Amino acid sequence: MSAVAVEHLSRRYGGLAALEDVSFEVAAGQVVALLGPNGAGKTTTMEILEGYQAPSGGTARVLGEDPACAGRAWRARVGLVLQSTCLDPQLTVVEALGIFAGLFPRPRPVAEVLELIDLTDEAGTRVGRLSGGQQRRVDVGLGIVGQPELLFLDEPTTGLDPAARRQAWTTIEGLTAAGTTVLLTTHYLEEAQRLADRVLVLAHGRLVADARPEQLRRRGAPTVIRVPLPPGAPIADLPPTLAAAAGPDGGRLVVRTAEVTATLDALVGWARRHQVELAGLEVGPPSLEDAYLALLEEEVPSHA
Amino acid sequence: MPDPTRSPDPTRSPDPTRSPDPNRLPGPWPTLTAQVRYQLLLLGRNPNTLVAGVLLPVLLLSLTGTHGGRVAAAALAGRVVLGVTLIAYLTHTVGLVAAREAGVLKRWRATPLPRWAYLAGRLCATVAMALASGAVTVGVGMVAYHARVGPGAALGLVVALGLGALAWAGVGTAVSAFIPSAPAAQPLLSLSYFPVMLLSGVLGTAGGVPGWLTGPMGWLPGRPTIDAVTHALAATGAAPSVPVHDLAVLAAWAAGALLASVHLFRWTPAAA
Repeated sequence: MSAVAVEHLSRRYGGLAALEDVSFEVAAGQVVALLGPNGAGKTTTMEILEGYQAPSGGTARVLGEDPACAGRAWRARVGLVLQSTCLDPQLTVVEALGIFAGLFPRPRPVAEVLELIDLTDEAGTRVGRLSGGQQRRVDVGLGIVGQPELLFLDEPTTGLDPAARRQAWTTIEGLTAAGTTVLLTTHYLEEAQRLADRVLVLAHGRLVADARPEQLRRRGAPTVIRVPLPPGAPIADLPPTLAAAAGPDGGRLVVRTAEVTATLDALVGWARRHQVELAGLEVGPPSLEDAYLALLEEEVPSHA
Repeated sequence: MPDPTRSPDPTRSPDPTRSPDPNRLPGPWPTLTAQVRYQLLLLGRNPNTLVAGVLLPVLLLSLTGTHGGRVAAAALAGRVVLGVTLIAYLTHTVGLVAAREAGVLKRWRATPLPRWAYLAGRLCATVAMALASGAVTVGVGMVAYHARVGPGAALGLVVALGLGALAWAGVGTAVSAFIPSAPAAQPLLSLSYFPVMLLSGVLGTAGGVPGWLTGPMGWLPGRPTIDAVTHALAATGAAPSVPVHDLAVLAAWAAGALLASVHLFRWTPAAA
């Protein structure tokens, strides 16, 4: 049985359809990333699965139960990190974790959680005195202190610096290695690429892709050529097809093309003529971000 | 980096249909005591508790007229009730609305914490803190202003203040459902609190109160709290009498407000 099973889910707010006929499953132990632009329906989907909202149509089953009417035992098996940080600023980190741990039948030791979120040194500090990134890590700690079987992460690394984000990824990878099922939303495609077994892409409330990250990257998207341009490079003399792709500051050239040989030939010819060294040239499949943006351009023309 | 082609390993994946033994969830008593401790921590670290519950009543006590250096029981009762009700109604309700609008309650809703335990923990802690505030004000009145407090006053005071605090906190919890945002909480609550308390005589007999208002004041929770506390302070201990009407009114308010609170309480912000 799936950890999450969603069939023909819809949610309407008055005349506005936030979700329309969305169906997917998440197998136990999988990490699935829910992607989409703002307003695509990600948070609505998460809130229905977390039990905060009831769907207008369709069904959602989470750990075998309808989340809208599931009880305490079900909530003991689910952890979540909400989109915005919501903590009592008067409590210390260790107090907050201890109070939450006391609600679960098999809580993770607080010291272990402090280590996982890298806040051992701040254990006695009041939450209100922590930085935004540290508060976010406390949020993650509260989500995992009950040792959930299923963890909902709604933009868990928003506001974290790159080092803290990588630390959070390592923490999440540790949880998934122990068998925790994770459904996460994120705007960081690198995060989805690193963590997720599968990505679901929502646009205008509809599911427009359900694939592994590699499948999405290779899904008919063109090859990407990237090269940093040295200062003073004569970009005005770039062949028109390349000039159109140059970044706004002229510092980086990114070309998406199905004609790799011809494009590279034009680029190398331009570099030879102007004695520009193409150090750092990369040719490869599109990143998940490239593929995601290409998909949105197809599905949501205004996103282009 | 995880292998994206891996399929879940059934030997390490939890069976999603498995439910933990419900008996293993913490029982009602540890859940409630943990919530009371948690709420006491929050109240104890909220500067409003100290200002409204202790400093303001003591300051007003110092400005109260005395007879031969002795403060009257009715005046002391007014200051005590002011501190108690400021904590039970304003501090409690403003904090509740702020927690709800900041998403703190939404977070609690996602845990196995039962609704009754959150509400009961919050109300118990509020009543306990209000009683502590009342004890401090009575103590200051006795030590600094030579207030006469009868030997049998303690039990009566605990009952009157506890019931009064519970009634006011219950009303605040119920009213919180109608407050749309955290910034709106203080003005809306003040609007409902200060007229009632001033007309009830919390700062002394309100002169010029229209006759048609004096009757209804006896049925709102302000006047009965003050009267019951005044009665308790004056108790001699020889033949204890019970202010039946006042306590009955407070009990009715407490019961009605608690029922309404359970029905109206919501975990999520108004905009959610």
